[in-house]
Amino acid sequence: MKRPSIPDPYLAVIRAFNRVGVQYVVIGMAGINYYARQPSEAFATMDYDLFLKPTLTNVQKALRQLRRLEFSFGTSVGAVEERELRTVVRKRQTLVATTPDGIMVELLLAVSGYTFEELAKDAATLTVQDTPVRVGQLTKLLRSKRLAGRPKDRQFLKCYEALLEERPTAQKSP
Amino acid sequence: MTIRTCIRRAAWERGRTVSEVARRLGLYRSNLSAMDAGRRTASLRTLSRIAAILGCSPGELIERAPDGPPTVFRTKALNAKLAAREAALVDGTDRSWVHAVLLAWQRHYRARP
Repeated sequence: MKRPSIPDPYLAVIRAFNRVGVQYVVIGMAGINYYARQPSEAFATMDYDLFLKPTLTNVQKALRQLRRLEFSFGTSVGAVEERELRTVVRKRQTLVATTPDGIMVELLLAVSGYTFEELAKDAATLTVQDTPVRVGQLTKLLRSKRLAGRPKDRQFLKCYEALLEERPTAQKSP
Repeated sequence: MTIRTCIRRAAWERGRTVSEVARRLGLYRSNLSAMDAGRRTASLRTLSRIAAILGCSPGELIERAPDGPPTVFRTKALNAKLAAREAALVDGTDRSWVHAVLLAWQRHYRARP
């Protein structure tokens, strides 16, 4: 993998979103990792999940910023044109933004068990190099995984259980 | 008060599985699980079809969701530890190292053939 052209592309995205007022919450494994007490407790993940307020204006605003940072977009069915965004928002499809360096940011418009407002209302505001980052509450992020119920989520929850019990666990890769 | 379906339990009580019900309805099992979790609304038509498959009334497929704060793990002790971990991270805490770790994982896994 080439070194990313931006030193911290995730932070660049957050900064851009904060600047123009994109409403987002960091969720998923990336969000859960903010609650790790030390690096050894962080779980490997290849993407950075952002839950966007599912309105056309908010999504357009987010994509404009990502485009500026040289991300390209798509959904599970292929590339997305500007004129298709309305359908993407209506169907709450997940957008995947990637850079040529291989950095991936997933933009979710729906998550299991919670609306955007429910996750955003008590999201934690942490800082990364003095930039505020909105991260969903740990309980909600884990509960969302529980509700999603995919095999990989169940496996992850077992690992997290072991982490809380301070039992050694072998599996930490994605 | 939250209402949700209890298709899994109703199927199990009749010696059936959710997968079997889903197959007969032409749906994915995850659709029925989402209804049971309260994440998806079940139409009256769907409930009637499920009831017909299971040989019960549609009313038997509905229950009141338990109240109280959502829990993640089975034991109180683990949920308490989780709550403590969450409470320990106050707003404004610097988490710059998390990004360093995320990017290190990225480099490590993408460098693999």
